[in-house]
Amino acid sequence: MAIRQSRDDQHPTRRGRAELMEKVISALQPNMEIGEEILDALEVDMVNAGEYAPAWLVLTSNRLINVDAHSLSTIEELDLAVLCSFEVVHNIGNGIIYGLTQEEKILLARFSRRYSVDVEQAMDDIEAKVDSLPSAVLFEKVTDRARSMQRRRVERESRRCPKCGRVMRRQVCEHCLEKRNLIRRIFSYMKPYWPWAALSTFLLITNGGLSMVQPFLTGKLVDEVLIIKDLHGLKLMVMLLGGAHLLNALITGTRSYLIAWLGQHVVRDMRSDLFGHLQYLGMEFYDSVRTGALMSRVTNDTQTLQNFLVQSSQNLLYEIVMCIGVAIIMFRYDWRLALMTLVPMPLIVIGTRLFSRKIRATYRRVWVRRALMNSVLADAIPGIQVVKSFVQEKGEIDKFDNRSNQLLDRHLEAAGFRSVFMPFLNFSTALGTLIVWGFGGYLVITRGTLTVGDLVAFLYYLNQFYSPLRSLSAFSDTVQQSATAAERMFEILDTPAENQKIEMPASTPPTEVEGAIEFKKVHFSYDASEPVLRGINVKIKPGEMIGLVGASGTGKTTMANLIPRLYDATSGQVLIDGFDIRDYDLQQLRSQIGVVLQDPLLFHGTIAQNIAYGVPNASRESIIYAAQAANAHDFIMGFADKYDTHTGERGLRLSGGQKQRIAIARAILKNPRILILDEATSSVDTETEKLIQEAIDRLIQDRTTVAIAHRLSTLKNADRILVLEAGRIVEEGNHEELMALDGVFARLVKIQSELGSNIVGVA
Amino acid sequence: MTALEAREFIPQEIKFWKDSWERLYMEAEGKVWGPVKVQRAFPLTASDAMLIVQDDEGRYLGMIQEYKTMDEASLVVLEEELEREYFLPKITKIHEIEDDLRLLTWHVETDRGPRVFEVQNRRADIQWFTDTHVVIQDADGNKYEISDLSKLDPASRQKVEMEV
Repeated sequence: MAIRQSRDDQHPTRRGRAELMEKVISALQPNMEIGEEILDALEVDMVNAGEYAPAWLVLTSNRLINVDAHSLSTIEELDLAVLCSFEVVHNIGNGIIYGLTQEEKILLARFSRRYSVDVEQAMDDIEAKVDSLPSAVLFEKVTDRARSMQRRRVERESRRCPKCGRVMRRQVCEHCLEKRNLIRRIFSYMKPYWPWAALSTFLLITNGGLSMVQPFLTGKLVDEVLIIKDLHGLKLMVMLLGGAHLLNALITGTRSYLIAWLGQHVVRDMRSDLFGHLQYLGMEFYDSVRTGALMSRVTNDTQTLQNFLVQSSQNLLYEIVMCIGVAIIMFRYDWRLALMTLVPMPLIVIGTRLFSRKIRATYRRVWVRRALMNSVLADAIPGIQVVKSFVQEKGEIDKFDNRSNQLLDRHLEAAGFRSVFMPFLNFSTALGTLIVWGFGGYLVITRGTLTVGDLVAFLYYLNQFYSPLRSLSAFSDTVQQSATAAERMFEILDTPAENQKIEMPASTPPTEVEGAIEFKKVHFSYDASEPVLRGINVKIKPGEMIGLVGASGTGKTTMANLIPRLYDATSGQVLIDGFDIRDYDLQQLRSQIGVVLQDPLLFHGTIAQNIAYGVPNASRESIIYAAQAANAHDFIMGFADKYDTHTGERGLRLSGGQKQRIAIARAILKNPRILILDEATSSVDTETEKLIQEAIDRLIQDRTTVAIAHRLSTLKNADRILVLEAGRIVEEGNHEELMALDGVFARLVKIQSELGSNIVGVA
Repeated sequence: MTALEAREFIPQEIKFWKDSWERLYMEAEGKVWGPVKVQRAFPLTASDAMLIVQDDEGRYLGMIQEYKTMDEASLVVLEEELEREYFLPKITKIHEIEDDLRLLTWHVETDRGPRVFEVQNRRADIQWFTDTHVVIQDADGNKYEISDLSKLDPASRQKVEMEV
């Protein structure tokens, strides 16, 4: 018997499940028929009435029984002899397992979305088991494809680690990233520079040794020079002390440069690793993160790690050495005094721990409030035009002030904690010093067992003892921060790069393509329950121009995105020249495909650099030729700096139509076999549209083109038009044929012409 | 593109029932519609205010306002369906909100029983509609509602205010 408990045993709601299961089984046993045995059991977290409570769906050789795990009562029961099939639906906040018979549909079990993956996986097995039972005469399995599609979707949507069941941030589980491994991996960035790191550590310890010598010399100065008035000795002592200080200064200087050098090298290596990996991550990854968060990882997290690696870790070593070294010296000087210094220790240690816990929570709240305030900024500033035109300045100001005040409150809260704690800490250490002065002074004056010099030296050491103690207690925070930064960094580095070729393709596709495209039963869904493409079948010949038409949300862009493999089909195949596109080398494949988007992105740089983005070593003539073909040459020559005109933030403001033509020139220069135009002529005036249309007509010659059209009139020249509705191709043919058909396309054209000059589109 | 349809069904004049296949049917304006799908248009901010009726292909058939005024038997059928489609328990008490920097783990009582759930992102997953109306989405995509924060007991309220 397979007992399926879902993963994640640590979760509080799931403790004690084993006992519950045993109770359920023993409650079932008396009611079982002779020969009936339990075959499988699936745990769910809801009862059918819609309440959160543990229940088990138990499969026996005769029946399916849903048992309430607390009351042990049967919630639902279904005889396998009448069961025809299962249906599993995933709704908002809950999912349902139905059993279908010839007469009715029975709700077998409900579960919250936490159990979606478990249920999908279990139902595969339960179906197979039912199917193999002689008692299940009517049973039919849901087709493998339908089941595996739903299962894959549910698995992809799940944010839990398949191994441990804990919530993951992205595709990597930080709990399954081994902690020891984490530290080893951080330190691996030091490896190329280890001699310098070793030298730096050595210098640091030498520094420590030198600072420990100074109080000793000072003590000697008092006792053996000043008190017996030895001038020669004074000269020697001052010179020795001076030498120690000088050496200390030299070492400090050398080390500070060394640390900077090491740190900058390490952080550079981390940045390049991260950025390099980011470039090869798939679109799914970028759909799941905010740009701001990613940029912060590349800059801030690497900085945090650098500090930890280069400074904190060495400082930790230093503080430990100092603490132990100084403690030994203090005990050797006078053990009674040394014991006295320990009196305020509990105050310091407990105080620091309490404080750091409090302050960490407060800082987190500061951080949250700051993020909330920034979100107002991130909305209002780029959207300033909308704010102004809807006269919402006041509303935005109120929103911002509100968030800003909340941030102020949290900052003050943190300041409050600090202003209590710092004086407290200082007072505690001062208390230690006072005790030593008092007790030490008493020893010097009355007993004569301690010399003045020893007392002075001891007080110096005392200071050296307390200061590392304080920083050691703060060290756990640094470690915590660095661990978080490291986790975040390795999360990215461990996210697998974009789907590469499938292993062992049946045959190797050519490096140059002809441009034939085929969609074979292609289904696709991003992550929501709604499928975007539902069984697309189409063959496109090399050199053919295909128009994609349909209302927005019907799957046009999705269909186009599958060709350069920005996403992979959920099921079915996309073929180029008869080869599955997953057999191609990804870079090779994309080098054969040109894309012109509705709102083309221009990078920071000159117009020439932007045109040559895909072909960095293009000759100047070819750039100009491409610009001419794209009808961009004339307006470029109108700028003061011509092809050297800077685009971007402080550069020139290009109109939508101008950017569009630069993007077309970019595509012409790349000379791809397959071209994707995503609403390339939308949002420009009619005159510009004509110029762009002309440019496009030149661009598409001899290329396979898939054009998503905003204005249907631009598809007059298309060899074939595919009309999409709800993820399916509903009409297919050229302009005339589709008009004659008088269906969806004809209706769309009519609407556009009724609305006048084709200005308002359908997309 | 179809023309705008603004058909509105009068709640007192419609009936809902299900067949043995769990399919929902509606009788209105003198005929039977079905199978139909009914969804709340504003499930979070005005769950009682407006329902949208669709055919089983998802095409718009009409809307129903103030649906709670329909006959009792229909209402029971309809609400059961709505609840299965969109399960939104109301939080009635908060025992604890644990914060481990990465996740907020909520230990709560809901009108549908006790629940423990994890929230990943304070900003994206906790949606404030007013100062007192909050909807929280957990890491698995389940949603929970605090319809009026001011009506929770002071201890629960304080936990929300401290952590969120």
